Amino acid sequence: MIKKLLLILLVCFSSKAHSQIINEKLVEKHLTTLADDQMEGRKAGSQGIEMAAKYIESEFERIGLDKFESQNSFRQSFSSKDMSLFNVIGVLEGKSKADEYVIISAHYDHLGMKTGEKGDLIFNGANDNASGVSAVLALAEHYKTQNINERSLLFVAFTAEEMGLIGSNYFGKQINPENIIAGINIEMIGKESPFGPKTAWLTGFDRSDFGQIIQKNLEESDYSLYPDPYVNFRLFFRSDNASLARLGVPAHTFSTSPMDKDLDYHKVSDETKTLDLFTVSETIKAIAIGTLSIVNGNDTPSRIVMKKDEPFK
Amino acid sequence: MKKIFFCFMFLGFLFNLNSQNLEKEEVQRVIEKFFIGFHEKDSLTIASTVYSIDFKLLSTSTAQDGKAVLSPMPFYSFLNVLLQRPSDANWKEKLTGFEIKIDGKLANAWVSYEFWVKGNFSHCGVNSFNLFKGDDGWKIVTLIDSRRIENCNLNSLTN
Repeated sequence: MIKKLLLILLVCFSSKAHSQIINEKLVEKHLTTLADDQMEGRKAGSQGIEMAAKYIESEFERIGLDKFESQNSFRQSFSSKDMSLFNVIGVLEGKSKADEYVIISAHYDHLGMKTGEKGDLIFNGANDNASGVSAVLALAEHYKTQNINERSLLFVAFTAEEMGLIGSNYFGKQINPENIIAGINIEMIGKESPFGPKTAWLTGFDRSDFGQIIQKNLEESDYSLYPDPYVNFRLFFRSDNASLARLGVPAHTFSTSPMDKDLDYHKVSDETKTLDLFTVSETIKAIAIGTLSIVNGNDTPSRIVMKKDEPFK
Repeated sequence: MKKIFFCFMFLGFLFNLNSQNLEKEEVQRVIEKFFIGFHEKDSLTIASTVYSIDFKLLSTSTAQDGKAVLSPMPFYSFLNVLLQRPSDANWKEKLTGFEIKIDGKLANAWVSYEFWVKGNFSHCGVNSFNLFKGDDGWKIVTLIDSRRIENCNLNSLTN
């Protein structure tokens, strides 16, 4: 009897410890670091983005991720438009399906700085997209601790998204899309969704059954996922998921932001203090619960088929 | 003196009646807005009319074997279906009557309807709404509907 009680206690304690990995304090640390004025708006090719990359690398190191394809760096370096650019990639190898990959991504670049004016000149990009990178880092730590990923997980911070999805485009050319089971991209999860607290929306909802898998997994939780309400904004094509989706990968973007009402979008006022840490943290937890069956190999979302004449911008 | 008193009483009664009517109009407006969102596949408009955290959707019907069925539908499933509807599907829910009752922050609306698909009559029934008035006005908390094809007394024989 006592043994049973101890076992129950142990189970309770350990599951509690797991769920506590993702919390507002951790999220705040990532957010305030990445959106700090020192990072000067993280423009691709700038000194500021170098600092951001270093922070992401140091976190991947601390969490204990492996490097991609046995490179000696977390950076995937390349040049484009006369700039030297780098995605930052950390790997958590799958336990039984190591050659099946799930990508968890967010872009870490932003717009840099304004010139020739007084006042606040820095585009901190706290919501866009320090919030998404915070999610990638928190999920990496969560899955490393949980040790339940039957499939391999690639945690990717994409560069030069704001210049036209350059980082994710390059990444897409380096992989075999057939080995990529799903793309979980995260953008702007720092403001409460138009559907209320504890809700998010997913771009390209009806292009694969990815979204319905997430909804099913969230059924027991008090969080819900809705189809992207801003269809006219064509957001499915405007974030890094598009670079993978065009290769057939069911790759979608999670977001919470009220795009039609967000006065800080692409403004210098996009700072950590305008964000809702509860929304960020709850959304990351929901992504962990929602994508679990894909990560542990039980569900495989249907592939995306693009129409031939479908534009990508 | 008595006359003046009754005068005031009567004015008060009229005022009350008037504000009740204004509230009823407001409730009807929220329900109509819900259907604007429904017809235009605009999930944001729909979301703005419901009390999102607790919003419940249920449907009552009779199965082929005659059994009564109560089926809850998660809000996200409702929006999935709505947004995935082809743009030429042409669903039209015609609201044919409103009976609204209000007590304080609670309202009940009994709204009869006809459902038409591509100009053809599909079914009729009643939408029963419960609304709550919080800081941001009346919001729909529950929607339970009935669906039937008999005794529909079509108000609009043509589309």
